Amino acid sequence: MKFDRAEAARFHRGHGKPPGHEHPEHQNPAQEARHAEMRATAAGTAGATGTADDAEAQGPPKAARREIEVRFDLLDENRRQAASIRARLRNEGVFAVNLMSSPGAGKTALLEATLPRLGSTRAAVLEGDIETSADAERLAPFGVPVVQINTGPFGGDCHLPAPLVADAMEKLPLAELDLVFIENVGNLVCPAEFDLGEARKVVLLSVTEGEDKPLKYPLIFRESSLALITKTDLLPHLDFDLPRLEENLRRVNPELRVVQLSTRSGEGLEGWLQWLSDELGEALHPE
Amino acid sequence: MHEMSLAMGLLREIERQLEPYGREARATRVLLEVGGLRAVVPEAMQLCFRAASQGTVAEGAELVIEQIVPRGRCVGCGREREIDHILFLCPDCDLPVKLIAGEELLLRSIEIEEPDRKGHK
Repeated sequence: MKFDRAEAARFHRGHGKPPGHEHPEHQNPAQEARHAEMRATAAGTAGATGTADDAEAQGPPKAARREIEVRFDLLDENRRQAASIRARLRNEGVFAVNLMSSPGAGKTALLEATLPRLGSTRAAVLEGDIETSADAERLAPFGVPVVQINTGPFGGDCHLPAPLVADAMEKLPLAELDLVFIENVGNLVCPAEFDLGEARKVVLLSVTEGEDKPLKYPLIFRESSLALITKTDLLPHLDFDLPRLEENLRRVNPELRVVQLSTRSGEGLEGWLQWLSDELGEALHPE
Repeated sequence: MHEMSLAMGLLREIERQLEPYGREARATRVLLEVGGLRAVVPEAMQLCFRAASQGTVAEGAELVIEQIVPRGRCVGCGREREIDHILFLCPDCDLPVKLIAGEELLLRSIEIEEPDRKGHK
């Protein structure tokens, strides 16, 4: 069902201007622009019209109804926080990678394999989970700063939102770092929605999950720059159709880079490390 | 379950929008545009909205969810078509399709009910 503005206008009986269009609390330019646009829209269409029942109302309680145009993007708040994280990281010369996958695809295993192979690159990890610090404990032996973020106290969110990441970043010695891995909460749906201010999103998909996942969860594969096909050491035991997976990836995101690897055998790791070092070099030492 | 955090953000904005209308103003209907690629389940969104709106200015308000069909334009031939949510390659050119609709998550408008002001003079 849609609001019918013309219908509403016909019922409108001179309720005057809506009081809310000056919004003194909105001070930033983006909001101001939005409100200016709203005012323009309002002027052109008899605006925030009352579907007033006052014409026919019999006795109390009398109430007037009006529709106000808002056009507020629900992801704006997250986006603003993400932009401020991104600016902060750029100033500090830190490259951030947001690792996303379903639970158990091998994000922590990838970090265990990666952290000892970074050479002189100074890394840290933000570890996102709904509950427990199990993953942070797994990474403790590598001697890099690890901050655990639990979304449990915040409604058990199935993804990391930018405000939690911004808080966690404050606990990292950013000035002494080159690289931050953000290990997102295991989930193929929601993490794709929330920008965290990272430089790159990387999605992991293990070969036990099936070739059809890119088609079923297109957004996460569209948002990512790189897809890591993990646990390839298991391929001999599976009826997994790698060419079909690659075709499916291409269908949802023709520009996605793909690297196959197994952290268990170590095969393919160099492809991932090469991608990381290329991206890092480009980001931190442009031209 | 990102519907809950979306519903909470939605309610924060509704409260902000209603502030200038006084303490007794209530939201009676809320129009939300949701793009087909946003993985928002309408039933879950309704449930979360009902739960999160308890005790707020939007308690009991009707949430109208308008679903936006994803559309894209081929970077080669420029033809626009609906994206059946799995095909981001132009079937004619085999080139990427640039998304032009389908990622909306927009609170478009709110219907507000105010007590009759004449009675308050």
